[in-house]
Order: sequence, then structure tokens, then C-alpha cells
Amino acid sequence: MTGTTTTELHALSVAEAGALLRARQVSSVDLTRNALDRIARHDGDVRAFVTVTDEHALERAQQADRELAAGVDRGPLHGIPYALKDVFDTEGIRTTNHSWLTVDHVPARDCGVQERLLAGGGVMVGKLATHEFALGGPSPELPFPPARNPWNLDHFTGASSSGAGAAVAAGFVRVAIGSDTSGSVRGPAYHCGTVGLKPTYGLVSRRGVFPLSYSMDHCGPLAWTVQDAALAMRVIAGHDPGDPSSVDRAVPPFDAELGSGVRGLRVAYSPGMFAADAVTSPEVLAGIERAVAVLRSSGAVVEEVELPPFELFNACGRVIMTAEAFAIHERDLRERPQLFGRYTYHRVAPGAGLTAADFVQALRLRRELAEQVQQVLDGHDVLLTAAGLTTAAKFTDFGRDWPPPKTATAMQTIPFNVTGHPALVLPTGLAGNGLPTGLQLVGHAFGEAMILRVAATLERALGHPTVRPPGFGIGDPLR
Amino acid sequence: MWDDEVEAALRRGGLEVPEDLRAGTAVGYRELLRMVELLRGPRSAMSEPAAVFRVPEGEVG
Repeated sequence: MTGTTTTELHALSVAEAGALLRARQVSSVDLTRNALDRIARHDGDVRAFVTVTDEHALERAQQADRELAAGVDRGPLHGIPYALKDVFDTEGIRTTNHSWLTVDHVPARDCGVQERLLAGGGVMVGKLATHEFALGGPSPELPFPPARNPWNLDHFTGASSSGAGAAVAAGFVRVAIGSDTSGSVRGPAYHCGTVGLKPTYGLVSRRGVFPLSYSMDHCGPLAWTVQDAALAMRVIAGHDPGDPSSVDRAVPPFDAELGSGVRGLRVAYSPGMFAADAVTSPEVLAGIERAVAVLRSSGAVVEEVELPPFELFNACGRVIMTAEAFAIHERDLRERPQLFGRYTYHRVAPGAGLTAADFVQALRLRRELAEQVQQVLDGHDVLLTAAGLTTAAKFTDFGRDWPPPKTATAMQTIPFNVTGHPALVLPTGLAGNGLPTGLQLVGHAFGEAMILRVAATLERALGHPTVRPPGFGIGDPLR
Repeated sequence: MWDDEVEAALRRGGLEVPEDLRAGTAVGYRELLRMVELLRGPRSAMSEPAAVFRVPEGEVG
């Protein structure tokens, strides 16, 4: 691996920063000023943020410090700076969806996730770039420029939680919250070299998050470490009666078994889904095989399994997503088409041509695929598979119209939006071009703690959290 | 390529596609049709759709 190893303030994990906060060796104001300074210094190049809420953040940080001094501890994110993808409603703070259609929208109420983060003492430092309405792509004609990949600013960040991936990788925040309909938490995590978790459908509230596809949308954290993702989940997960898909069940202890290792666990491994694909990078494959070797040497039983062809998952998910997105945007597509970015229009408008029977057939296939994935998981604790097949594409790979070449968007994440199973992306290292590679772990419904446990074992062995993109230390010039 | 078939299909859905957005929309529509073909596997009439999906009792993590 190459990169910058650092012990600077921004590189503290949530747990490390939290320990220092509680020991009064650092304050929330210190952490927040550090985040805001880094954003001011570097975000002109990275473009992770569309709105920086510095006044709000410093007020919240002062409050967090006062509360800790008074013995009030709101949990693992108390006093910790974070940021939200700009499709999450924030009371009194514009929520643009990165679209001209809603560029002036100022919500009257916080979304469910933001309510939990605020109740947990978190300090929001801003709203993050997305692809328009969490779909689109890195279009140049939107109100804000696309976020750029901190590992190489000529490359894009993966998918629509684009600012979230960039902000965590650049060390602006330790935790960012994104949405994931076909891989938009996991794609930026994969391409920016962070951890990204799409929880089980229904575990994290979607209330107040602008919908792309009601039945495929999930909200989840991007973080620099597995533990930080687990701590974020402790805060954002839980029942919300305002979200019709929200599940009313006890929130599991996501970080309770991170140190338990993998001895005796059964891991399903599905190389047939991706290894023979012509675009699969040998370096991506090698990273996954390193992880398999780590699991075996750590005492897990790794067994090759067969999943349905990726193309079936992709077709099922794309048809459902396009139909639901068209239903959401139907009026604007008819009445204000020129206000959409070109990529968004090209991806949603074809939904007008789907038939009712097409949609029902997709839903029938969805049930079959979900059952087949569950059959593979039966008898296993987790499934290990690819997250993506290539490293991050260059912006120049994207033309005027959608789609770009397959190599630019070769993600393997949509199957688990179709089935609803939880899925986590973990970095495996850097390719020869200096860009991150990664893998995907999939678990049983509400089995996030098990995924995080396996991911923590791999993280310790692969060593990624010590490596940062070069050029983002305080005082280091951005290349 | 934009043609009468694409125009008719999208118009059935109530959409008049602006001239400058037609080429990319046609590519997207034909790609969607290719995917639609994959949806109709062999299944009986008793094969029901997923409303969302089930979480079988006792199979949760």
C-alpha cells in the first residue's frame, strides 16, 4: 500500500475521539474546528460538500462540551462531527437533492436519521454532494459540481453518496450518512476506500429522505473504520413509525463482537458471480482472494457457493427502481424536463415505457431471488462476494449522455437491494494505479453484527485504516 | 436511436421527450427492454410477487 500514515486529530476514530472527549483531553469544539478547517482548506478541490453548516456546528459542539462537562453523555457520537448526503431533510437547512428542481428547498422538519443523530449529541458540519435525486451521475450541468475522489481527483467517487465517500476518505468527517438504492453507500465506500454499510431493509428510517425507489432505498453509514460504522449504526438504527417500512424490533449491539474473530464461522464465497467477468480487474480479484486466505487462516470455513446470475438481479432491480423513480418524478418529467440533469432524465424517463406486467414480473423474480440468496445463507454466517469489478473511473469516461462504458459502473451491489439483506463494503488495499479495491460481505436479515465482526477481522489483517489518501494532512499541499 | 416505437412507448406513459434528450432516452429505454426480457423466467401462476420481502421467523441474525 502507498499513502499517508498519520496520527493527526482528523485521523482519530470515533471511539478514539470519544475517549479523548470523555477524558477532557480534546473538546467537541476542537474536533469541529478541525473538521471545518480541513473542509475550508481542501474542499475547494474535493467538492464533497454542497452546504457547510459552520455556525450550526460550532453551536452544537459547544452544547456537546457543556453536556459532557455536566455529566450528560448521549452516546458514541456525542460531540463527533458528521455530515449527511443532501437528500436527508434537515430542519431550516436547505436540502437540495443536488437538483435545480429542489435547489431552494428548506425542510420544516428533520428526517428520522437526523433526529436520531441530534438526539445522540452529534455535530453536523454540512450537507454532502450526491448525484441528482440519488440517481443521475456526475453531470456537469447540475447546481453543484460532482464530488471528486480524494485518492485521485481526476476520478469519480462511485455512486450517488459521492460527497459522503469523498468526505470520509479526505478525513473531513469520520462518519457520513448516505442512501443506497443500487449501491450508493457501498459504491462510494468501495471507490474511496472507506467502510460502507447498507443495513437490512427497514432497520434505518427512510422518513424525510427524498425517495428514489421506495422498496429499494436503504440508509446507512460510511466510515473510515468498521468500528466507526458500528457505532454510527447504534445511533441511527431503530423503529420509526413515520416510515412505513420501518421494523419494530430491538436494535442489536452492532459493536459487541468486533473482537471475537472468525474461528468456526462459515463463510459462503461466490466467485462465480464475478471472477470470470471480462471487466474484472485482477487486482480486485487478488484483494478478495487475500481476504479469503485471511479468513481461512483465522479459522473460518470458506465454501464456494453458486448464486443466480448477476444479470437477473440487475434486471430485476433496475426495472423496479426505474418504475418507482418514474412514479415519483412523473409530473416534473412531463412539465419541467429541462430542469433535470441529462443523466437523470435518461435514466428515469424510460420508466414511462414499462408496463404493469413488467413491474409485476420483476416483483415475482424479486421473491425468487430473495429466496435463493436466503438458501445460500442458510448454513452460513456471511456471504463474501465482490463489491465492484474495477477501480474508480475517470470523469472523462462519462460522455454527454448516459450510459458510460460498463467499466465505469461495474458494481455488484444491487443484488442486496433487491433482496434486502444487509451488505458491507470493506477496502482490501490499493491497486497499482493508487485507487482503492474492496470486497462485499452480506449477512442474514438483521445480521449486521455478524458482518461487522467478520469485517473487523479482515480490517485488522489487511491494515487499511492506517493508510490515507496523500495530500490531506494539515499543512500538506493538495497535489 | 430514437424512432416511432420508442416515441409511442413513452407517449403511452404520458411523456413527450424533448428533442435534445431523445437520443440518450432511447438508449435507456432499449436497455430497459433488454432487462425486461430477463424477468419472464419459467414460473407457475402460483408464483407470487414480493410486496417487499419476507423475513422468516427464526432466520434472523
